[in-house]
This record gives sequence, structure tokens and C-alpha cells, in this order.
Amino acid sequence: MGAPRHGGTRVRWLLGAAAFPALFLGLVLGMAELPEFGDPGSPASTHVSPRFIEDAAAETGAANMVTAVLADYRGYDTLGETAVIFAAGLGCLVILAAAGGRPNRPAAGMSHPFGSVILDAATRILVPVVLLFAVYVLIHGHISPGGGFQGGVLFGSGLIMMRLVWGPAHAGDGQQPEVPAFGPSLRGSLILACAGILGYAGIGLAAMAFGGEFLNYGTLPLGSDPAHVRELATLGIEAAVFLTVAGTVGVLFDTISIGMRESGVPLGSERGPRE
Amino acid sequence: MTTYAFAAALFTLGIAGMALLPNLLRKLLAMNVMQVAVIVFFVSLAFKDGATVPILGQGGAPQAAEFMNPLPHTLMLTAIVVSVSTTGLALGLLVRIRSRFETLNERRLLDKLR
Repeated sequence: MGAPRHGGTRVRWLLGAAAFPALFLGLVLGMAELPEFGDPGSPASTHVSPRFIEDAAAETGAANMVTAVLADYRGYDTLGETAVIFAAGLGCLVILAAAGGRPNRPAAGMSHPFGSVILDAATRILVPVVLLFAVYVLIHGHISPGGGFQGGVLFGSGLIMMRLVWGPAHAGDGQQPEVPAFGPSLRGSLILACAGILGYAGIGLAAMAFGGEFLNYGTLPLGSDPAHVRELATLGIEAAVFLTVAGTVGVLFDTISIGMRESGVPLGSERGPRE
Repeated sequence: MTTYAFAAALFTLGIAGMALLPNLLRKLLAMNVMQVAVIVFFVSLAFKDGATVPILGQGGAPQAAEFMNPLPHTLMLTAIVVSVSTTGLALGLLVRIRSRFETLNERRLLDKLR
């Protein structure tokens, strides 16, 4: 902080002009040692992945190998990723609630419904399709590109679209909203996210209770064919991820919109040099 | 090689944006560009000549040479959603900063913290 208050800008840009091309050159030179693009014999393609490709369908019943790796072979990793997403939602809630923003008040978004016929009609058509497609993406994750993460984000984006046009959801504290609300309240989104992460861990613990390892679904008493049992358990995992992701997207949107209203600072009023 | 160079260019662009742009929101968007660079790099590592997407179609036992490597795709799938959530968390922090200091400009923030 010893630099002159406003004189550092030119020095900074000059340093950047020298340092970042050097970084780029270094990265490209380092990458020159990598195997050729598309080389089937590269180390990344010859060690674990043949096992995934050749055995996944027989072992897990999922034609989509990405889903098999995500929810079964690397289920422990995915549990961690889901927990990170959930923690991000909780973190946002805590940061903005600590600011004196009260999450139990009606969420902001727009304070009045938009009222435009075209927007209202467009969302009436678009949002149900988006929500339905999200569920389709979830349950077809075994056999086509898709799964809980993609479906959850789609579902969350449908909810956000609705809130942007129709106004905020109510906060779940019994207060009537000024405008018709759609979708889960902030508290509801939080409960969805919790249910997802607990369901994920619960499936893992159930596998332990029936004599397997944590998240090793083969022992679950869902049938006699182990591949089919794993397929069902994978669907359960994907549904849990779906709930967590959709709920967290809802929590993030609601807390940020509440925070922006509570802060009371008009947005877009700031003009400064080189912004 | 071109793909790797493209990823390197995106990464450099993102990191330069994080270091040089004065506005915190722009720094955040530059960080997203950097994350996209990593995703491009990983997914390009999964590519195999003559292979198709890692979804089993009709036919006999799958051969490793017929399908792309599913592992980088899996890792990046979760990375994308994690980056959405962390961006949301960062936006929450920015709203807090904006309401407390009424600016997101790095230099003005430093002036106010002095």
C-alpha cells in the first residue's frame, strides 16, 4: 500500500503487458510436451478409462459412461462436489443475512409483477417446458447426456425465469406476498437442498447398513441383478443431486435479490475512470 | 495443439483480467473465463481420434478405442456446476461490499479502508 495513490495504474498495465504474454508463452511451451490432441494412446486414455468404457455398462447398467463414473465409480467425489454446492448456498445466505438483510422478508427481485402481456404469456409457455425438460434430463441421465447436475440447473433456471417476470416468491413466514408467488420459498429451497444432500449421504449409509462399503450400492436390497440395483441407486443419487442443485440455485437467487434490495444502493449509478 | 493454445490464451486472458481490471465484478467474470479455460483443456484431453461420445449405443461389447475418455467429462460436469455456485457466493459477497462501501472499484475501496 506504499505506492502513490493513483499513479500505480500505468505501472500496473506496463507490468501486465510484460508478464501476461510471458505467462502465455510459458503455458504453451509447457503444453508442447503433452500428447498430441486426439492421440488414442495418451496416458489419460490408457490407464483407468478403458476399464470405465468396457465394463461400466455391464457393472452399473448405465449406457451413459459419464453417469456411471459420476454417480457410481466416483460417487464419493460427487458427494463432495454436491456438498461444495450446498455450502456455497449456505455461505451466501449467511453473508447476506449477517448484513441485516432478513431472509424471512419477502424476496426482492422486482417489487411489482412485470405486467407485460407478452412476457407473461411467454413465461406461461416457456417455464413449464423448461421444468419438464429438467426432469426429463434427470431421469434420462442413464442413457443420454444428462443427469442430476444438468437437470437441477435447468430446473433452477426455470424458477428464476418465473421470479424475474412474475415477481418474488413469498418467504415462507406466513406473510402474504403482494404478488402471486411461484415456486418454493427461500425456506423451501433451503429444505430442498438439505433433503438432497442428506438423501445422497443416506443412500451411501444404507449401502453400509446392508453390508457394503459407503456408497457401494451393490448390496442394497432392490433386486437380484446387481447391475440393475446399481442403476436404481444411481437414479436415487442423481435425484438427490438434482434437489441440491435446484434448491441451491433458488437460495442463491433469493438471497442475492434480498441483499440487493436491503442494501438500498441504486444499481448502475456508479461511474468511474476506466470501469 | 491449437486447442491447448486456445485454452492457454483463455487462461491468460482470465488471469490478466483478474489482475488488471479495477472493478470487482469484472474480476469475478474474468475468473469465470479462467475456469472455462480449464474446462476446455480437460475436455480436449478426453478427445480421441475416431472415437465417439461416451454413451453406449446398440452393439456388442464396447472397445476402449471406440469411445472418448469419460473421466474428464465427469470431472468438468461437476466443475461447471460448482463454478456456478461459487460465482453465486461471490456475487453475494459483492452485494455486501457494495452496500457497505457503495463502490466495487478496487482503488476506491482501498481509499475507504485506509
